Amino acid sequence: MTQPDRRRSRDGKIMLVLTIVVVAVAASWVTVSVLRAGASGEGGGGGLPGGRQLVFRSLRAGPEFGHIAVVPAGDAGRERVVLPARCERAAAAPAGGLCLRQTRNPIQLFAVTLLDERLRPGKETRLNGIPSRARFSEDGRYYATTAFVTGHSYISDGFSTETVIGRVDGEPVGNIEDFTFLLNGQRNDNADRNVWGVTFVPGGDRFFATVATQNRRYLVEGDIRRRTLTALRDNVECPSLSPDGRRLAYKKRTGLNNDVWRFHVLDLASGVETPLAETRSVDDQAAWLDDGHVMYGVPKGGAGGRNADVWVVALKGGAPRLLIPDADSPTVRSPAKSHSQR
Amino acid sequence: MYVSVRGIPRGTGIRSRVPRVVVVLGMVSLITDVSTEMVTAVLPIYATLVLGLTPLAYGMLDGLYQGATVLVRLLGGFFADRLRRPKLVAGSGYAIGAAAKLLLLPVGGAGTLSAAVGMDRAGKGLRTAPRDVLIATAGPRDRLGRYFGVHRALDATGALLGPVVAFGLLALAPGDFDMVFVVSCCAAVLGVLLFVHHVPEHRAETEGGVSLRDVAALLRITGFRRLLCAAAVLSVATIGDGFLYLVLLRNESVTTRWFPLLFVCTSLVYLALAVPLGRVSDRYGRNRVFTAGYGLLLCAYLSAILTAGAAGAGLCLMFLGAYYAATDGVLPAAAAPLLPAELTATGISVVQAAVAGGRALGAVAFGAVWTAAEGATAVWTFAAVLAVALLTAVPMITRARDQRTEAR
Repeated sequence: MTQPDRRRSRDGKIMLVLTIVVVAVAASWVTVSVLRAGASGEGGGGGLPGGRQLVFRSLRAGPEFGHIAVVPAGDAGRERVVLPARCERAAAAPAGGLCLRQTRNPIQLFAVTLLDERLRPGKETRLNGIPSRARFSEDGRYYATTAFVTGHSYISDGFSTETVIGRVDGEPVGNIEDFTFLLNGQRNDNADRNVWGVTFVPGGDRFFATVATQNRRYLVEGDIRRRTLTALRDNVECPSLSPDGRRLAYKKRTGLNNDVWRFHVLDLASGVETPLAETRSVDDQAAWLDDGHVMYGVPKGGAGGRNADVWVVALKGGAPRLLIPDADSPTVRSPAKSHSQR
Repeated sequence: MYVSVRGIPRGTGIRSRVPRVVVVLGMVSLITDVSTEMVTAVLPIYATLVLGLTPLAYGMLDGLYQGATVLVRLLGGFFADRLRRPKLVAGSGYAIGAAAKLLLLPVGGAGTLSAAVGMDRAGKGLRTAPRDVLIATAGPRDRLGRYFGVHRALDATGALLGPVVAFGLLALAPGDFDMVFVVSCCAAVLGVLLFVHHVPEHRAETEGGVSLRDVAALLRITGFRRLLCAAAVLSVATIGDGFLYLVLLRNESVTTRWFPLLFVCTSLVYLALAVPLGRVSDRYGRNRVFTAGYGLLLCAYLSAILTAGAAGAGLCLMFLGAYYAATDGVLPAAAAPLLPAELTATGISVVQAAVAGGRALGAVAFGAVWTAAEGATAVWTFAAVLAVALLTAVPMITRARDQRTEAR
């Protein structure tokens, strides 16, 4: 064997060892991940707290990460009850809840699961895109989902949302982008229309949402029966109706072009708009803790953090405070009176 | 991967033999593309779902780096020539790409994400031209179209497998993006190992490094200057796949559900036609096949707006895939023989940068037209621009009887 030959064979052995090491690292990492994924799933359980409940997504590290959890709305500091359903976005109402989750099906990556009055998974439908917003109507008839339909890298040149209203019992209403959009009393057929962030008006067929077109975002009032979206106001995103139905909380762009928002509250009767005391820019659909308080998820360590906390701010003013650590997607529900809550 | 590559037969017949280094480079690209595309496929989901960024912010991030790549490409080509070590420069590009995946692991948020994407793009830009030089110097010049075809077919296979692997892994452990990043990084390291061990360094015979003045002299080579101008003019008239898919969506030829499949179909056509069209280009002239490729792109535009339904979408994707097969590998194969040996990498990087820059410009312009007008009008506009570009480019390069490209 000549010198270069020997060197080459030694290099070959080193390469072989390195290759085996790299393959082993990948294989063992995957194995651990798969085992961990199998281990979670059935975690938690236990009884739901009585009275008004604050339902959210638990982001505590460990097997319960991403699972729906519940605390009493009046005592958010109490230890959370973690439920089996794992979600990316969640929303709850007296009649049940909504869970937008990642599936194990590579072709249909996301799904919508309806939760019953004890927040157990039930009926399932597909979701065309990456989960963004979820809402369940107070009267238990409708639910709404918003998803980003970018899906894959090949389409990173723009983004589009798909907002669907479904009926809890019966055929879905469908994509509300197909509703007639009325701007300044005129029918508007702009092709670049996007709709997101639904909030339902209880006991009817009306809702509020955001419609974006030509780089403007409008607060719209929607009508499911007439299939219309009527623009009410400019620069409003992700509205949320207060439990008494008198106010809307939403985020409003305050920066020139970048995604900088500030929460505002609109008095529907007087049309007076008031900024909330939260000064951070938060990208979330606010939810009402009660008629005087608004809550929302704030990423830890600024935008782009992997974890979040739920904060609450009073309408009357005063600094926002931390409500639930390691959590997002908060909503409040008063369990239906006709059902016993054990 | 390592073992299977060693098992590749060294060619089955004298006439059909593809140099071993071309196949190895193809395998390296395959593995690296699996690695890169698995991350690219899940990154929008990771960014919006886990990090809570809006897709718009993510899209802007992406567009920013597309532009930056153009500069890095040029640097990659220039340094490969200046150091006269294309393998070293290409290898660094592969290594940077592997390191970029590691950056995704720590709990870094938006900042690290953008750094990782930027590094990955930089690595890709850096390695492309020197790697193409290694292919271009692997065999006789009259077979380059075919060699590049073989390389691009393997490359496209990797791009196709990447998302499959990524979503397969996510199906095993939903939401565990870290696992996807680790596997991607390991694949990238395997690619680097294969490259380092199995690709010989190409050492030029000429003495002395090149200077920037030599680069300027490239433009005095008539054939090269014409090819460069034609490539730049044609690429500005490209819409970008993403937008073309959106047009199909707007025409209701496809539904959002089938979106991922559009990319798959395009890639399948591309990888099936890369070798045959490479051979055709060796035989009938690479400039001709390259220009014909843009004719196919024009057909893709027209079928997107004129035909309806699934058949129309299928036709459009066929043309789009064929366009890639006729241009992507054929361009360096057309450029390499026109260039002096000591400036091959620089020259290839210049044409590729022109195409990348042109495409980025085209995408931005199309986006603007798309926002201002209806979808079909925007495509008609670009079809007209492309037709004009073709009329300009065809006489520029196909009539030039350059012995070295037109030789059969």
